[in-house]
Amino acid sequence: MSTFFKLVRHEMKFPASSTSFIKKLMSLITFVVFLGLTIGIVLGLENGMGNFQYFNQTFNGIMFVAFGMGMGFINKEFQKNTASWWLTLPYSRELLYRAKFLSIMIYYLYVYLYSYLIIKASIITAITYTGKWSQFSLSDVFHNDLIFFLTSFLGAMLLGTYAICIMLFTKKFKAVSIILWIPFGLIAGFMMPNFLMEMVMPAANGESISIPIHLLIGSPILTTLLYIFGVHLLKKHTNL
Amino acid sequence: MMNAAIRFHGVGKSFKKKSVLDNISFTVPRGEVYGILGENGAGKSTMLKMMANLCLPDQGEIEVLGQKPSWELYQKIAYLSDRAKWYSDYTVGEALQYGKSFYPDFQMERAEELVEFFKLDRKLLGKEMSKGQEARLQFLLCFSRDVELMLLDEPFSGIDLITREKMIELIIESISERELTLVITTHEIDEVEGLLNRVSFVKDTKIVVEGEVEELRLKSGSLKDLYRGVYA
Repeated sequence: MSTFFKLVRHEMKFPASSTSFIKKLMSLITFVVFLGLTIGIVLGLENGMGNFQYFNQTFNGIMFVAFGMGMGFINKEFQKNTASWWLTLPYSRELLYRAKFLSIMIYYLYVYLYSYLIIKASIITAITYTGKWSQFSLSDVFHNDLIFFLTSFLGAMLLGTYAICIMLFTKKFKAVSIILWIPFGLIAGFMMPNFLMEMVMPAANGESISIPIHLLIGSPILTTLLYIFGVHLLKKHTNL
Repeated sequence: MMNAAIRFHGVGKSFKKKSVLDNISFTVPRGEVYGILGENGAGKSTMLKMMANLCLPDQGEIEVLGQKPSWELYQKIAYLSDRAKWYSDYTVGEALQYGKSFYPDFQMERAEELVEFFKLDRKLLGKEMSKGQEARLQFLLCFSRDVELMLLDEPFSGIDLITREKMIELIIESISERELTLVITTHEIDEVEGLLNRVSFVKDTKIVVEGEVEELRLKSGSLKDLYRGVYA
């Protein structure tokens, strides 16, 4: 196995407790909560799938989980005082950064898939329970999911990289400057409501889906810039 | 000096406009055990971090094993921070695998011997370890590597007597077996006096005394007396 994937595997090491009874219980509670929410939505449906698209749109907010993960992954190294082991591994800082970033995205995919399955299961259960299959087909339930996933993943890449930069930046400059959070607000505004509305609403009315070009182009560009900045911070400004 | 493991020339460093090191110059010859002594907060750890490329100097130049500090050096040096903790979700056995996976110079057989030497349970998790056990494991990981230079920051601080004795035994064995340059920062002179070839005393951002231990002993009686003279 190449060093890079060994590093990723090291980053992905789950604590033994993560497969415990508590995790299974949390899954069940999450499912019950989503089920209750979905039953409420289905019972209140009058306008067909439009409401489901709002539901999906809200679910896309899960991309912000990647931001929390980015902060958590870096912060953990410094809080638990393992950073000196991490940063003195005999590999370039760029490789260490890349492994950290990929592990964040793999975690994100795990969380996304886990939540997605619970939500879809709860939707199907709710429609069945309320006897509303006459209003929907199975394809309605999965309508536009791929586009939602794509936008969510691109957003997660950008937010994850940005979170890493913030955490590394604060290791050098202790006080978190407001300057750091202004771009976060801009990114959040850029990512979330407007373009999703543009994209989703026509589709909800049965028209063609407009893919947000500014996200497809802008997000990878911003992610790349932040990635370069992050590696620079890791090389030059990480005082332990 | 041609055969220097480490060379500091006019190095200065400030944190938040407060100077912690000022115009520091010294050389650590290869194959020697070098002690950086001083009170808490004297800047000893900062000097070690600079050698390990974990902190950049504001002024001056540093050379480690003939090159400027960079990540490439981590193939030749082992660094143990005074605050380092081992990963809480790794067992001792997994820690050895970690060493084997990530350090090309990691000697598994040696590591297995040291597990026995330090009486560590291979199934023990990082989060279940006492401070002494964790220190033993981290020491083991450093000393299982075949490196040219080892940087140990306050290795005996807060460690129980038995563990300390075992650590010192391991250091003595290692430096007698191969050409290893060792830099140790400490303020516990009793523990290291017998190990050191050269020493520097850091006080108020500067090196106030530097030289061979034998010569300093001849002048002052013992390092402890010299330490008292410098810091009292």
